[in-house]
Amino acid sequence: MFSRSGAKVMLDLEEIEVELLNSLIGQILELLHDPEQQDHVDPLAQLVGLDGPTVISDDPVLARLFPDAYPDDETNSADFRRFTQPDLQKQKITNGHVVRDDLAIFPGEHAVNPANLNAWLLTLNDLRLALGTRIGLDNETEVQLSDESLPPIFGIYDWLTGLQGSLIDVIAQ
Amino acid sequence: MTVAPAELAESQTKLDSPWITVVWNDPINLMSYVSYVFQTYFGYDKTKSEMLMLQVHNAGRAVVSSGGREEMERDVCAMQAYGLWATMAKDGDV
Repeated sequence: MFSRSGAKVMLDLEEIEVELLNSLIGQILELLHDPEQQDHVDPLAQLVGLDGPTVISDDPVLARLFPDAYPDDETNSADFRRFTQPDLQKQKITNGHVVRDDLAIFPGEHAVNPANLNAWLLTLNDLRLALGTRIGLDNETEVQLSDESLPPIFGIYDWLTGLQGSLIDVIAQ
Repeated sequence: MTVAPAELAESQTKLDSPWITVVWNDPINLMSYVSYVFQTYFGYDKTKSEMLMLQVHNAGRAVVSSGGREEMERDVCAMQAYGLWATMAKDGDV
């Protein structure tokens, strides 16, 4: 969990937590088509900005991360998506890399570079959005996440919620 | 007499211009996170940010900003970068 020690923001992680974060970040980077994990990116398409998708993803996680900006307006939603999604994906990928690089000095308790805290906040949120969507959380369902009879993914989601909550407590002070 | 927050936000929106950014309730984003995003991105004070967050939570959605169309596209994009479920519309359409 995150805590404050004077001017520093500290993070305390056990080895299994570091492994879990690395694994989850790897999965989300793959989902976001991190170029480092892809064979081919068309440089021309990238240059002229034609590489953005125009329709909402079939994958529920990507659909949640990149929803239609204009409800009930496919044309404007398509244009918006084409111009914004590549940059948004890039930001998320960059944030994921920042966190993964920071994780290299863990486990244990270490100070986190203040300049990287936003990347941590956004990455933890992306991971919670991804897991929460995969386990089908919606506004109608109330799940007791700490219920130990649930599959492990619920416990992992609950843990991420605590971790992100501790970071917000520290930076929103 | 106290004006209800929702009415206040609505009348302010109508004064300015035809486009609005709407943030929708979702079961994942933490209330403290949503409030933090409104403070950080829009520069709203804590009271206004928490009021908007509670409106999202209780009413299912809230108008968080209003302005020209390009400006609202920037706001929607920023909200999506934070992982909030945001859309835009012409004021009066929602």
